[in-house]
Amino acid sequence: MTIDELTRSPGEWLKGSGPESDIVICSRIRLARNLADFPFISKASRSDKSDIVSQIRDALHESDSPLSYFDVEKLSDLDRQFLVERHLISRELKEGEGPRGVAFNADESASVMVNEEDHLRIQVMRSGLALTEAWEQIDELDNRFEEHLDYAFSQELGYLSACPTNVGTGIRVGVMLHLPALGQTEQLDKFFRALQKIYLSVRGLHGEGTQPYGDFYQISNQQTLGKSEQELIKNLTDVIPQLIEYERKARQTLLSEKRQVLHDQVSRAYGVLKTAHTISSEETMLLLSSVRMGINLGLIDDLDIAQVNELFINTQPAHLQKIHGQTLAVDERNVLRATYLRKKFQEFRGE
Amino acid sequence: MNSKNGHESEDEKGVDSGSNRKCPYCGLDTKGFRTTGRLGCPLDYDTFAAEIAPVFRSSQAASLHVGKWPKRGPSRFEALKLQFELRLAIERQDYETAAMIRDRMRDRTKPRES
Repeated sequence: MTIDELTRSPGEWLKGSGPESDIVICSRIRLARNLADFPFISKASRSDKSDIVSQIRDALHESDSPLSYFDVEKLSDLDRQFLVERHLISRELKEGEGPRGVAFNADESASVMVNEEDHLRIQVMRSGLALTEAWEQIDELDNRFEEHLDYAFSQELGYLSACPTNVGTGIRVGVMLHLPALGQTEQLDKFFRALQKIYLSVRGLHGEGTQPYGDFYQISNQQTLGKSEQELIKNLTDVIPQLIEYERKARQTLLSEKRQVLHDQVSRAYGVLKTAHTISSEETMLLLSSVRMGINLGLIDDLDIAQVNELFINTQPAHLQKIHGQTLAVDERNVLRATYLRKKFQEFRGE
Repeated sequence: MNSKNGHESEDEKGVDSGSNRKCPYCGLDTKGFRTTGRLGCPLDYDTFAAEIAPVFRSSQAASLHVGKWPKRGPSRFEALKLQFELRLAIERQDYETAAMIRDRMRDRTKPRES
């Protein structure tokens, strides 16, 4: 598997299938793990980091893992950004120093970042609302690694992580939601405040430190110690259906009370995407967010979610440049993005 | 982690007493932890237990792990830590503590209750 080959498909998180996928883009679980014999990353020398990579690569090999390893230190800036856009690595790993890498499987549902904030960050992503399945997959993967690696684990504190906010289970359970209708009401802040009271946090598309954009939100647990993995998953599976229901109701209310306004907004978004000659990735995402809602509400009938998802992923800066085969300045990218969008819409219409 | 056993005062950790402690294993000091919020090694959970306690109180459900266990039980890190503590106890001729640590090392090798 090569990184260039990934451009052929949108990857697991944007597949657009799975339960409740009109609202839940994807489910994600990650586990933070560290090797017992090494300092955490902030105090690890270059040679420590190199040894950690070796041990983890050996474990991948010995466990017959289907995950292919990529040396992030040796990748170009463009390839690193490309992996960030596919949610296979974090910005922290992209911008990190020294020996580090990522291993992932062909469908990109499972990945392991090596030498990010922790020695291992194991991740499983599933399209739609599928936290139970994601947990089963990641638990099995973790068990397989554990047969070959000696994790730092204490009886009292569980899996020891570089940041005390991850200690214990080391788990982050999250779902990425598309809430364009609730985003237009004043209720969203109220919901988010209620979520924070039950120790769930709300973040943007690319996780920690990013702002919500295009009405995409990630909701995940904050607590990792003192509750079991199953309890933490249940905290989320208990509230997400309610949020889904509120979003559905808000969509119906918008349709019945402001159908013309909504139809106009969605059609204008669609129109701009089909005809623009220069467009930024931010504007593209906002407009695609509107179009996605338009499809889900039956206001747009000549486009489907899978096609919108393909445009979402392929119009991001690094994807666009990978598809085009060269690095480009921002202005050139904006022109290329608009050209790409016009061409794709023609293709979708069978022209 | 083991401060509840009452035999590990800060002085006994072989590093500076007072507010700016330093981990003998990775070199992280209190100031460094306060600045970044990140720990330097597994032993820091013990060294900086006092600084970590407020983090647990504000962001965690409890201070004891109740989730998954590695199949092979607590990691070798526990053994490394006990060896480290034993060496320090013997160095300062604190044989009572050394004997307690040896007992704990023996207990670790017994099968864990599931």
